[in-house]
Amino acid sequence: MASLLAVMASVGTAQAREVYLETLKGEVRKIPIAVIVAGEDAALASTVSKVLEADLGRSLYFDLIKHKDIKINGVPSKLNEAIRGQLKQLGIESAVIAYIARSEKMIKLDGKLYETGSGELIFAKRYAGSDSMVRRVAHRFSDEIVFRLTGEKGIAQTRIVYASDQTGAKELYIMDYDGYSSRMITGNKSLNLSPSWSPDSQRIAYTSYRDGNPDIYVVDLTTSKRERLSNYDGLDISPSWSPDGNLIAFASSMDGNAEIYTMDKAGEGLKRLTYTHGEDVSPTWSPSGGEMAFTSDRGGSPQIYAMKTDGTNIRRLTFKGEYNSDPAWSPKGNKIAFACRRGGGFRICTMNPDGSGLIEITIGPGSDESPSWAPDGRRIVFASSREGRWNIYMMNDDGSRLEKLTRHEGNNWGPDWSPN
Amino acid sequence: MTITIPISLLVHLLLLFALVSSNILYKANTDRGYTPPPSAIHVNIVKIPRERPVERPPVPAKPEKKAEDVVKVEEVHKPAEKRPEPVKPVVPVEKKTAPKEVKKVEVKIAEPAKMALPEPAVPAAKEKKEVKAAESSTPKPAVSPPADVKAANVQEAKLTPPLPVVSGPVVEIPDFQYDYYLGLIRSKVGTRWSQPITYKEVKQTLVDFTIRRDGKIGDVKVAESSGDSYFDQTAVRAVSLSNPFPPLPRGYKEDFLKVRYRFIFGEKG
Repeated sequence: MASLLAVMASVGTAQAREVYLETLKGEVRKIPIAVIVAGEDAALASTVSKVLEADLGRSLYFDLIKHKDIKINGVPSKLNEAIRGQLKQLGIESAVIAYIARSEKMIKLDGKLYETGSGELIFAKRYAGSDSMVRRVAHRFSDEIVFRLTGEKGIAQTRIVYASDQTGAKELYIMDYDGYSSRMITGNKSLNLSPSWSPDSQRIAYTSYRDGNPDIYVVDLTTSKRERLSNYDGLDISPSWSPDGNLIAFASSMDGNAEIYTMDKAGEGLKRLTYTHGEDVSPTWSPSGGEMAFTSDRGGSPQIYAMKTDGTNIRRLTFKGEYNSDPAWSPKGNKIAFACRRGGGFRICTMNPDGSGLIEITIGPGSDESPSWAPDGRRIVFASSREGRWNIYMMNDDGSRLEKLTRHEGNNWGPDWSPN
Repeated sequence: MTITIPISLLVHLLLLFALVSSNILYKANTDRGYTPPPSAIHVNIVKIPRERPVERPPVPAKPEKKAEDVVKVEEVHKPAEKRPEPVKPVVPVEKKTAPKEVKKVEVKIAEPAKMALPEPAVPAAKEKKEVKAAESSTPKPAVSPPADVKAANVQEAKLTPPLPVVSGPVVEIPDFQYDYYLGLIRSKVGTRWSQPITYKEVKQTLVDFTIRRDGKIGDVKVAESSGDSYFDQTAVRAVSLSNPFPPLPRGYKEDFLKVRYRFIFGEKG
């Protein structure tokens, strides 16, 4: 015992200190938080406040507490007793206090996060950007808040790429994860579809008919440089980037019927993975990169299958429903989302990677297709015709908290959520 | 006939010998104050040894149980021993702070315990009881310095003996003032803990781990087992699944923080 004590003591003195915690059983507890944004431009402050509140609410880590009467001058380095008392009375445990200023065409956000128990400052950061970056700045600030209070990476700065016919042609667009700031990234007035982000969120692979035959293209978002990766006979469709960013899996009918292939990011090193008489399409990688799920009608009807990424160990995952397609492997690895149909329209279903635990998480009307996971694995974006026209929606992975993201005219399909 | 005479003589001699020997026994017994017939004595002698072995096993069995209890107390004692230590390192780390500050810090501990984490009071009280039990059974010099600090609490704990009642987190670093941070850890681990269904008894597992400045965790290990490895595993899993935690508080200047997480199974909230 004495030696143990000595060891413990020496460890203790080395660098670290020891803290004792006790737990209750697993309750889901959200952090009560308040967002207070001030600024000379009230409209600007209101925008920032709304973006922050929406982001924090969507993160599912926080309970946003209303606090109309609390007024703070500037952004103090430590909360004084009076304000702390007010906040605590409302049950607020964390307070976001920010001041937004506009000078010429620049905006500056002075953001701080406090803990109301002691008034301690958890972090302080200043953000600056051009006038058009207000929402982006707020998203960045909210991701930092999420990180500082949960250790998790927030998703407020992520984006969603999707196809839309709002200009007549079917072009690709990128929008913020909340549906704002949409912008076109193609513009060839042709048919562009099934976009897929690279793991570093710098490039997007997609299928385009711009040169007549549907082939796989890649656009680099920083340089806007575009290149055609595949130029095979037949259709080259549904590209999907491997988690390490080195390979792109896709479906091609170059050998007759559609099969799954991989190629490297330069379009070289073609490798065929599947050999069946049926159509094999829509590959999706497991986050480890060792497995792949895809759609195949080899068994008579389109169903979800999985295999190793060398094409071995193929097994069928879905046995319920007449038509299952568009699998998307969750970035946490624990779920596969897909479009499922048991008569009527398609719905979004999720299941475990072994095919068990199947749940239908949307209820219609219309049809729900093309699910894609948020990088935190807690939310799914998909295309739906529930209001007649096709739009992009997002929801929690249990189907709750549905939000419509696209608000413009036209139809929208095939969303893919950026990994970062 | 000539043969029967020596035989009968031999038999008689044997009888005589037997009589003499029984007399001796008889005398011996009378000396002790007993007056039963020799045959009865024989029976008694046989019975007594039988009864004794029957009695003995249960007797040793009870001591064995006691021994187990003692072991349990010791197990509980381990944290008690370890706990004081963090206090020690803390003092040396901040050599500037005089021992007086420990008293000031005490108040801080009490405050945040109520504010940030009101519920987990049970284990704390329980722990303190255990500490006291451990102290009384095996008083050790290592326990004595913090014993003063805890004396008051121990007495409070006495007032609520039968059911474990949570009274707040025990923070062993006197100047660790970031209870919000511990609250964040608790809420994160809590949501990731798939607590197994327990029976009537309350069990606990202590899991040790370290948190680096950037919030990443390491060295996750069971410091004290519940005695049920499945329970222990759910506790370790809950911690591992919580990686990473939020970055360490700005004001906390060490490179990493050692945390002991107490999981109470079967606790009635």
